[in-house]
Amino acid sequence: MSMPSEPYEGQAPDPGDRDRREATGGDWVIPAIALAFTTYYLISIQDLVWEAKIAAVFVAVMLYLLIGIFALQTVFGLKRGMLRIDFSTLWENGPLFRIRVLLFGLAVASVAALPWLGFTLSTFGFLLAAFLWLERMPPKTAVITAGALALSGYILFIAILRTAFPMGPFELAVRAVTGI
Amino acid sequence: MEPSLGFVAELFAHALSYWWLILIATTIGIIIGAMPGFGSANTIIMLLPFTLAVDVDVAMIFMVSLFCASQSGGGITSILLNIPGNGGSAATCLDGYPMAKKGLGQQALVLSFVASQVGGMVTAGMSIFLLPYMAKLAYYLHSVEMVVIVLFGITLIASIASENMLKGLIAGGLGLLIGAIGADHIYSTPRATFGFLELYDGVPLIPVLIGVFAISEALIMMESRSVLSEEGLQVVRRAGWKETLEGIKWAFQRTWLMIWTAIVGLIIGIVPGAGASIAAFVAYQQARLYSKRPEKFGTGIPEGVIAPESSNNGCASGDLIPLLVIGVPGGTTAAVMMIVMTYHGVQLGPRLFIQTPELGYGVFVTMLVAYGVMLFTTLPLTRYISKLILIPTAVLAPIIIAFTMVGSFAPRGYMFDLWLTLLFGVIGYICRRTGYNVVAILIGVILGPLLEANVMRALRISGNDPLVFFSSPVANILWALLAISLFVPTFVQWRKNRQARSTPSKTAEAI
Amino acid sequence: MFSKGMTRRGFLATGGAAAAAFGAPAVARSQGAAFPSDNIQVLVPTGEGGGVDQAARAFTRVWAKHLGANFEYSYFPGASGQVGYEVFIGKREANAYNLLFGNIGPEMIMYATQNVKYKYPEDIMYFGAIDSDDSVIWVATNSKFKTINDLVEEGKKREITLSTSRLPHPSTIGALALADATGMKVRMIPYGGGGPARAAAITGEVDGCATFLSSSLGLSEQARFLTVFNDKNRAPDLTNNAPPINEALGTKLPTLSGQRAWAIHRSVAEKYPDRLKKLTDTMKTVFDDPEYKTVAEKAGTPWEFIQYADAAACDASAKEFAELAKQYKTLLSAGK
Repeated sequence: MSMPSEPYEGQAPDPGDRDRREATGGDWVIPAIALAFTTYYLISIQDLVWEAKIAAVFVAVMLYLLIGIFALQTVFGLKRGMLRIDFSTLWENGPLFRIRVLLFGLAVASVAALPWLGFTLSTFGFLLAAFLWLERMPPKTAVITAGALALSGYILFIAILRTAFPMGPFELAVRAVTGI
Repeated sequence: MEPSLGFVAELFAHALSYWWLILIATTIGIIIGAMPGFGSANTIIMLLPFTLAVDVDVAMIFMVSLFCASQSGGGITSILLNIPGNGGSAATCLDGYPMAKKGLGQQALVLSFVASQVGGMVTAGMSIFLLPYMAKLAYYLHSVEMVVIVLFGITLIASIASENMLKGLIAGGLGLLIGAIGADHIYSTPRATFGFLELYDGVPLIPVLIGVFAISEALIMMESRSVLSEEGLQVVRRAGWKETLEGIKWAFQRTWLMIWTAIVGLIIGIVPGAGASIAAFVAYQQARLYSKRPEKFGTGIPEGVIAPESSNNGCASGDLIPLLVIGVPGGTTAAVMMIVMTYHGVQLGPRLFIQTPELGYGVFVTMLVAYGVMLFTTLPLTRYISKLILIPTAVLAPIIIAFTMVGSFAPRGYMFDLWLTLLFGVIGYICRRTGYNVVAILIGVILGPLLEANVMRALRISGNDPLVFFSSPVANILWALLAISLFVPTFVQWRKNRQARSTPSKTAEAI
Repeated sequence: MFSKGMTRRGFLATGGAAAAAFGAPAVARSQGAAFPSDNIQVLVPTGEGGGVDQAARAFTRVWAKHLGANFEYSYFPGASGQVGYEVFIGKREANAYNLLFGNIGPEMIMYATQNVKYKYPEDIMYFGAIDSDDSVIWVATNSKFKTINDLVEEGKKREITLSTSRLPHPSTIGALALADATGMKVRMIPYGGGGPARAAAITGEVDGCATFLSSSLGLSEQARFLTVFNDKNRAPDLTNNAPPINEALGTKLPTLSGQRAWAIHRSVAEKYPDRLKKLTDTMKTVFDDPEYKTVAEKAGTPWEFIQYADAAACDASAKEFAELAKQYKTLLSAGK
């Protein structure tokens, strides 16, 4: 793991206390993605001349090899009883996973709503919902905090830095009033 | 063409008389530098009406100060939130964030600022007096040599993934392949774009950066109430001015490191097309290599913050050298500066130093002054900025998501980039949860295209002769250094193991 | 959950604060007002700070006065301009408020050699070119090649390497056509940008550089121009009097100039002919404005190259390049 003091190692509650074998399963996801993408990549370039291909083919072969070794390692590990299949590393524990899904779901919703609501309102909505549901802030505090943040975001990113977000009702209203 | 000391002093006085402008420009620069997705190039473009309207020396003072400051600012979010403000400060996350979690965020910020500023000053100073020789470097660092330099950075994948080599290499390989999405480097034919026009020019770096770092970090950090460890929390609450002084002390205990990593950045910066991100990764890799305690890198040690920060600011001086000496911009910001200079009728290239030496040298003198000014403005701030991580994660995480997403959108204005960010957020989350190194992915994405472009170009120039990679003395020296950097740690480790027989797993990391 | 009234109050408060924060005068934007009632959005299919960007900004600085609207820029570089064109045609509204500023030569070569999703001339039209920049070959001053004949002679013995910003480019076609006509061997090396391509030639990584003239003028005495791909060298003083290619070698190569031009959705011509006319008319007046001469030269384009061409001339040039590119398609694209 990259950043050694990351939660993955130390702080995660270890469901494997009951079982001394190392968990495997969750760590197949990345190789599976890599495998699928590598294969797609190779298919996408099959009609090109070698100069457009060679680098990718080199990396692809390397990836296939690495994933092959990983697969062997896993198979042997399972056979020898050093590994056990367990996907729970992906979600850690139920309540925490629900919180993460909620936060991510809110992010997805706010991006989906962005073309209609515009930056300010979608950010406000996202922050408000997150503060209310995740932090359990008192509604008044949540509204004020989210509102202040969304408004600062509007001033900084749209009014000053001119980020070309789709205009929503708020941006249009401000524009109609002030011409910004 | 070396300038006299008196002449430099005069330029110094001139730049100092614009201290207020430098103050404004560096403040803007630090802020935009710390915001992922915003950078000096966009900002200078937005401010073109100003820079075109004022005198050229004033415009240069403004642009150069802003540019340096944006390089310094990138480390702030890397350290406090594990979110690099730009590609150049991605390597800073490796040790900066672990420091912050231990409650040493304030010291880490100080280290980052001092390293940035000392590195920047050293290289700007060197540039003033050694400019003609530096400019010659561009004549020796061509595609072949760049291939080896980029490889230095890529080997970092192996060393930072030492805890699980196989997973690290898979992550790095996936990153390389993701980096190879988009137009090929010879014919500009799009590859593996899933039919998305938005990927024709390659996977955009900022959404990947924000996805794998910011979004996934926001999801991960929800597991506890604070980013900080319990102990770290106590440390940060108590922190005052003492910590700032301590950071300064730690930095100057490593003065030589600051200097030589800055020079690494300077040299890499001189090559047109190579930028701060590669400089930072190479410097980190080199610092780790020559460190007495390489195994501590990645656990939150001062060296790991100093090396990349000093180097990416050294790179800033280097970026401007080809612009001034040859008249060819080395990076996007330099290209924008070129617009302003040509608009004001400044002749770039060798003639600049004959016709208007005060401008040519003035650029580096301004850098010196700007970095000096920043020492005074940034260091006191560290005490306050570092408190940012006291915010509970349930509040911090949504704020990170909301505001970094702006950075994904801003550079290109595609809704697509927001979805891409979320996708990479999920990938980053899975990586972190299952032991794949996200920095390894990022190194692949950043350096992969550089490597491919230079390899393909070198091959094409040579008529597809693979021996071209060993055809120049400079390249051969670099190859030898690369080989040393790969084998020396293995050897040292092997000897250590023989002596101690206690840490058997570490030999692999040098591969 | 909190009440709806709370949100509304929140919104009203924020709205009011915003209005107060920006005490700017209210500018009503009436939809029916005369064109243009809003800023013009310029899409540049190459990077910011590049030659095209500079030329566009110089032009709009003056044009803004004549048109009575400001110009805002966005950049969509990638795949030799393909990204910019596809974004423009696919995602920008065809209402005459969206313009594209590109370079006809290179971008029509891109059109002819890549798999693009739009059609010329059905989807896009160039309604006016502002300049004409010639393809050239130059070498570093310390190069052993003094004339184009030296280069061609050497090229008969070994392969000459020439840097270029990208393969689909008129100067690449020029060099390849030159090789065909003289029997020399040439290998074009793309650097993914004009800056790195020029640096490669000056620092001696390649034998020379094939590019457009104006972007190389800033190099002054570091470059020696060998030839110009036109019937006449229009800026002899700036190019050490390099001879026109056909005059020097007795060949019959076509003129390979890049015309930087304003483009618009083809459908605008039918839907809003008045708007297009306004754009075209005001654009023409820019050339007579003395301020334009100053800013154009400041942006690095020699005044000799500033040359208006109307929509018909642009169209002819575009089609010519598309034809030419088809001849060299195998050398310019990665498709087998």
